[in-house]
Amino acid sequence: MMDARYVVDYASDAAFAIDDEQRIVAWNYAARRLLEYTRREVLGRHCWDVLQAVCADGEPLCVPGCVGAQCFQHSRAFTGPSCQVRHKDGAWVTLNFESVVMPKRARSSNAGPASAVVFLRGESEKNYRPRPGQKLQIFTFGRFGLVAKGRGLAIEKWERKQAVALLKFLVAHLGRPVHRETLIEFFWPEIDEDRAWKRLKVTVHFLRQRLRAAGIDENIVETVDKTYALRRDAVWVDSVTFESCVVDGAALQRQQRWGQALHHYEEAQHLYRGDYMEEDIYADWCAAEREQLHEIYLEMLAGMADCHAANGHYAEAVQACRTALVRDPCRESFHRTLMEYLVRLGSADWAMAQYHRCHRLLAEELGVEPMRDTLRLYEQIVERYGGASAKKLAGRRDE
Amino acid sequence: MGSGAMENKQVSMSFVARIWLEAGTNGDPIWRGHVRHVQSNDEAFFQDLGSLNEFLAQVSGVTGPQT
Repeated sequence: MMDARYVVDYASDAAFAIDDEQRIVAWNYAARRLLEYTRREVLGRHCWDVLQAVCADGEPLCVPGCVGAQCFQHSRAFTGPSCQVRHKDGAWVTLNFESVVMPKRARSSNAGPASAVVFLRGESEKNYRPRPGQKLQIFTFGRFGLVAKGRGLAIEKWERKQAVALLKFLVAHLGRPVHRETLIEFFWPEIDEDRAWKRLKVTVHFLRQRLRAAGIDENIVETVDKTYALRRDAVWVDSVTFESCVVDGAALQRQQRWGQALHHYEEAQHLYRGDYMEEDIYADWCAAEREQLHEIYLEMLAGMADCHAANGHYAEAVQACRTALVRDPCRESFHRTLMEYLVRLGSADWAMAQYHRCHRLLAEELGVEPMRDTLRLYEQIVERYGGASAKKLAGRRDE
Repeated sequence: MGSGAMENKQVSMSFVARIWLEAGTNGDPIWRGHVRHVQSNDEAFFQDLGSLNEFLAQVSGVTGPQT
């Protein structure tokens, strides 16, 4: 039987192989030349996390359980549309996807874990024909970014920085009209109204001009009477998709459809690359939205942990809890569930250590003791596993 | 601009607080919170309004109403 990894290694095109969970199991030299990632950097990672492909119509292609993955599940090859893939340096590369599915018979032998081989075929710039009516993609998590027709816009090079700030402000009020006086008061509080009004008009004109140059309909920034609004239907915003993924995931979780719920949660996690409008950490106009999304993110991680645990995947459940605690170290419920999952993983010593970490954090940050539930769980672990685990724990402390 | 005008200028300070319920299966659930001063990014956790008030007073220099 042919091992998919040989197909990848001997292919003249850039190629990689993935397993059933969309993890990369092979990556060839041509793929490295194309996207700069070394084999070591990508093996074991989800392909959607590495490639981050975006279709020409503005919708993300690379998501957990994507169209390609669904095809492979049904033993069908997948041919992707022209799309933009993230280069390691952050630039976008225009590519097409082709694939070969590994027959189930081949996989049942010792042919390795690969379920499909995906070929990445570069498309020259002159052949790239964006279609009209595509949405502007707006990335608000982490570093603010715009993608128009699959291409990243170099907003850091815009001469008028206020145009980026204005767009961010309108994104934060997505679909809602903002009165020009509000904008003037916010952006130019120190100058008289007439001059400020002229500056606003120049800034809006500049913004529309830049969008038009990128092939985006300039009317996505609407003017009605004395208000401006960013049309919700004309843009794709990562934070909006994030929220809908979490809502869908939670609905599926309530129906105990753990795997499907996880697909939605993983897509949401993939989108949450950092806090909302992270570069504007000292600005108050986006502070409430940032905290709200942060809270939704924590709720989602709790959901992820529960779904993984329901599937018996405790290592992943532990990971979700740890991610949450990095974000919010005083959330005691995460400490407790983490302790429970560590015990299930056979690491009672780590569960006990986690209790001590929780105890210390709560004392430092809140000046309180852990809750009775947490203490009781700790005592149960000590009672059941105490002897051996305490020794292991003591050994680790001595190291 | 004279110093008088400066003194009269309103200084805006924003704080964002998140409050959550730590629910237990045994015993009473507990409200806990996190507060962040937006302009400085200083932050604190709290479990009672006194601690929240203390943080607000410390950052703003203004003592609020007694709780």
